[in-house]
Amino acid sequence: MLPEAYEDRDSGPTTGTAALPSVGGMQTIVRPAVAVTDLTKVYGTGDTAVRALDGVSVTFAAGGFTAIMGPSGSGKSTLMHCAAGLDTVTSGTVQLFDGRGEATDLTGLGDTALTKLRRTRIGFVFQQFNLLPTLTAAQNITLPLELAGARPDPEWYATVVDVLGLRDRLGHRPNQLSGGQQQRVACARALLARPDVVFADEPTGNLDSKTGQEVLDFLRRSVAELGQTVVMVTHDPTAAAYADRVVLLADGRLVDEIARPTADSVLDRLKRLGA
Amino acid sequence: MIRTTLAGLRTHLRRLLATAIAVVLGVGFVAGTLIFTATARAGFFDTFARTAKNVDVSVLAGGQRLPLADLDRVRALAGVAAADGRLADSLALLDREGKPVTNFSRAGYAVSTDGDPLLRPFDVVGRVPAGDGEALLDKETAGHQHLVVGDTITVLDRAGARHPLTLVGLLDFGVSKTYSGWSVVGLPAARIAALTGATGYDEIVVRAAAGTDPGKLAGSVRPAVAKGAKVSTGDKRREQLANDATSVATQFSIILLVFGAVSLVVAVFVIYNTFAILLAQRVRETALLRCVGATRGQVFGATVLESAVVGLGGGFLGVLAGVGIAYGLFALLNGVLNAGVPAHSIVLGPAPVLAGLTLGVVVTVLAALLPAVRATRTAPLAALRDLAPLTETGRVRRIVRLAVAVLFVAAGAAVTVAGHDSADSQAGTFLVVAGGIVAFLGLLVAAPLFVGRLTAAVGVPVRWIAGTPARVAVANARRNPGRTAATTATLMIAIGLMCLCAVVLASIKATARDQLSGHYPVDYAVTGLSYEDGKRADLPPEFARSLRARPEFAGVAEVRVLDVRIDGRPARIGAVDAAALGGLITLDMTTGDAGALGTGTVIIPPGTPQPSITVTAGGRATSLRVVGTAKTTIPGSGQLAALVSWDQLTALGAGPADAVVMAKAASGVAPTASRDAIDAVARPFPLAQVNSVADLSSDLDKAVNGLIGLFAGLLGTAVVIALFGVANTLSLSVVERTRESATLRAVGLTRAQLRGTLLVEAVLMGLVGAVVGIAYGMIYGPLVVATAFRAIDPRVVVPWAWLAGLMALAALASCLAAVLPARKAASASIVAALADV
Repeated sequence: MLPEAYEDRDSGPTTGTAALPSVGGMQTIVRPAVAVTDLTKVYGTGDTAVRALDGVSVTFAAGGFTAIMGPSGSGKSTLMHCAAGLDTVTSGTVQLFDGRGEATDLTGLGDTALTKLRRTRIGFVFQQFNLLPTLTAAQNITLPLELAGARPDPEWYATVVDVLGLRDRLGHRPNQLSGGQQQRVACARALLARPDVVFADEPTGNLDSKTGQEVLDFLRRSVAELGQTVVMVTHDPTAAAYADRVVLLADGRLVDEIARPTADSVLDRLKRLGA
Repeated sequence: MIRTTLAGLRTHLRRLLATAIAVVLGVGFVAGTLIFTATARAGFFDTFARTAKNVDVSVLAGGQRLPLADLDRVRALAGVAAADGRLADSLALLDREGKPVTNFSRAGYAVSTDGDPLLRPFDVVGRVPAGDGEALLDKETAGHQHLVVGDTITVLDRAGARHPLTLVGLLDFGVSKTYSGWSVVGLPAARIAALTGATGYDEIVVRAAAGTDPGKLAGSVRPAVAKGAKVSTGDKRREQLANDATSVATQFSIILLVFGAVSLVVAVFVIYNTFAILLAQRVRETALLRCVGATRGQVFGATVLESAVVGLGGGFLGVLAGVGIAYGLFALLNGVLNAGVPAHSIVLGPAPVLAGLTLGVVVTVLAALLPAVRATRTAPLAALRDLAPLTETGRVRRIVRLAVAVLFVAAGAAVTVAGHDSADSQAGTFLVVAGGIVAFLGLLVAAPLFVGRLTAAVGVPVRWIAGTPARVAVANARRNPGRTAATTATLMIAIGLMCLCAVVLASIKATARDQLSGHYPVDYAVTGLSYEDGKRADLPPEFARSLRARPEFAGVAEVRVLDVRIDGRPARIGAVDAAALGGLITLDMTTGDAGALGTGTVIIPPGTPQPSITVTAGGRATSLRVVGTAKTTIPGSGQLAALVSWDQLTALGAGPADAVVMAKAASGVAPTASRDAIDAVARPFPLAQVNSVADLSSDLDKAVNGLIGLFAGLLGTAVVIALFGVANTLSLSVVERTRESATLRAVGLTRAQLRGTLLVEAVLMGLVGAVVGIAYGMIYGPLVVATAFRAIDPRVVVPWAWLAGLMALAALASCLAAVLPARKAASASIVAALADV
């Protein structure tokens, strides 16, 4: 059902406007999951300093599926890393909101506090799958919760495993799984703790188009059916079309955003950016 | 290709550092030993050039001393400028307390001082003794006894009578260590003869007249002296003296070289492992080289060249380290073991340098061969593929490995059993050790098959304590069994040997202690003063009589010994006085009955069953019937070849003098009171040496603990190399797992937990090595003890405290080895590490 909905939108008119809307001016209807304010990230010092992010402010709505796009070197990965608390920021704040709307400023947390927060409140899906080769699929899925010293909710665990079709793969090690299966295990790992946000970094980059679509379908469903918040970095317009919002970065600045994107509208905007 | 290799070497230098250190330590040990031996030899040559200075011809006594008349005959020969007789014998010097000055429980010496000053092996400060009442003393003894020229010293003749002498000068032996540690009294030869009963000279030294050839002079001296005397030129004599003295150092260096070989074997494992891991990590690079046209031979050659360069560098640094180690050995030998090796500036000849460089290259290349062969199998296509993160070994290869391992272990076990059951204890020990080495090789071959499971088993309690991070650590330690096996093999070798030494030494200690306390429940063993060549003063029977009269003692036992020939071979037999035998002293009978001991019968040690023995004493042969076998070791007199009855010993010709008098304190008498009493009894008998069993057993403890420490120290190098191996494997694994660690950090492993996983992984490897090593030592230690010391029926003891210590040491040291790799892993930025391919 979901794919059809995408197709509907694909065939519809592009919703983007010629004017670049400012982020601050955008109206937020739902509560936020992550709010990034005036984020600046500078690598290096002196002459060799590179401004990877230059005053980015963006809010990722809870229960939304946002894609971050932009040319290579635009800072999209850096934005994700900073928003996920994997990297430090030079200035600005990153706020993570829990289910009750209470904010935690990640930039004010130490390494250990950030690490502990990542266990249950942030999920990751990587391009390289990044499963631990020594652990079985099941052990990989439960790893973050176990590190947190928590037991997974058995019902939720069963739901996640079944939705991802991993039931008969749980005892396998990653090298016994196909790429698509590995990425599904990674998705399950990201979702099991019901985190406040899942960050996906080029999740289809290492997959063929069919399995890539399966993974994107699943991310879409987790948003639509499970109310999960997903933020995805991608350079693929087709992948971005699965999101319900696309933010575009160039040279470390937020330059555009598309609500209800289609592959064509995204491609179109990207072309314009390149020009 | 060579340029590519060298460029690669420069880039990977840090990763090869541990390999280089393993080579440096292994080579350093061997080179150090060789340098030490050469230096000690040079030192001895210098020393003896002095002892025999000005000597052109030396006449050395053969079996018996040279008759006094020989000297007169030599002096009369043409071409002799001067000739002197040298005489040295044991002579006890009394200290201010009236007790003999001893070194290792032995009396000091007297040397003759008369004759040509140019031929003396010492310098005299003051003047030489002119009459019977004068003497010289070596300056070291004078120093610690606070004696100066003009003081009176007292010496004891062999009967125990005191002789006061006036000190007229001091003896200075310079760097010569011949008498190092002993008191040396300088007296005229005639006076020494009167005091010790020695007649004749040990050596006659000759100075040639100007223009006389020493070789020719030696030829004319030979007919003038007693048959059997050894005549040589001064140069020959000096060389021979130096060689004799060096033999101590040589024996020591052979032992050292064995330990050096162990270090090198351990180093081979570390080097092999490093290259195996490096080449596995470099598969892409190698494949790329193959893609652009490198042949298999070139890939192989590149690895061999790389290892040769590392080996050469390591060998060079090893030789340098060897110089330092040689200094350390001097300190060890002289400081700890009192060996008295003369000081000499380090001699660095071409031999240790060549040996060090060759060993470094050969060992490294040898260790790198297998990984190099494996590297040649890299398909060019591998450059384009992703690395398989886990290596699964094929079933066939596992079966082959298992078969080879079983073959080795079975062969080793068969040889060991043959050795253990062999009648000849010495050959048996050799077989047990040889079988042990073969079985250990089998164990090493099998290691990759069992380390995984063993790690998991050892990891169970660790996981229980440390939770999920420990589970990650256990999984990591298990993921590459070959690598873990090679890493822990080094610890297995080092700890296995340590455990073996500890079991053997602890068993010897326990056995000796049993013999002290179990069957000889005495508190004191009094012996006569011992002289050189094992001669020993006897105790007059009055001593035992006075002791019996003291109320502080509940029992006194006398032991007499007699030197005889048993079935033609020289031997010492003994007897315990009839009143004590069966009372204070019970014999530990293996077979037979001690009560059957009487006239015409004998008890012999177990091991060589025979119905009777023939004892020859004073030219008369007596056949004695064997009525039993027992341990015949008696405190203070060592092991005796046979025990007879008191009357039988007297009948064989033993005089009325005791070799050992044992005493047991009466109950309720404090140790200090009994000690005072026995000292009071001994006072009129200056030759009596009172040993308390408590002292003996604490001396024994000290000696055995010292030996265990020494072995542990010598094996320490191997352990250090093994730990570099652990550190190396871990840091290479850290590099390999960069992205994995970053993932773990991303999903919630804290920095401290990541460090923890690596520490746990190291501890697991340390414990696995220790467990296997200790298990091996606990099997082979008792086998070696039972075979080598069969004659004394040893009690096998497992020194649990030492083993627990070894285990803790292995765990702790591995933990230490993991500190740097762990820090490196934890400090990596997650984002950067995630990008790592």
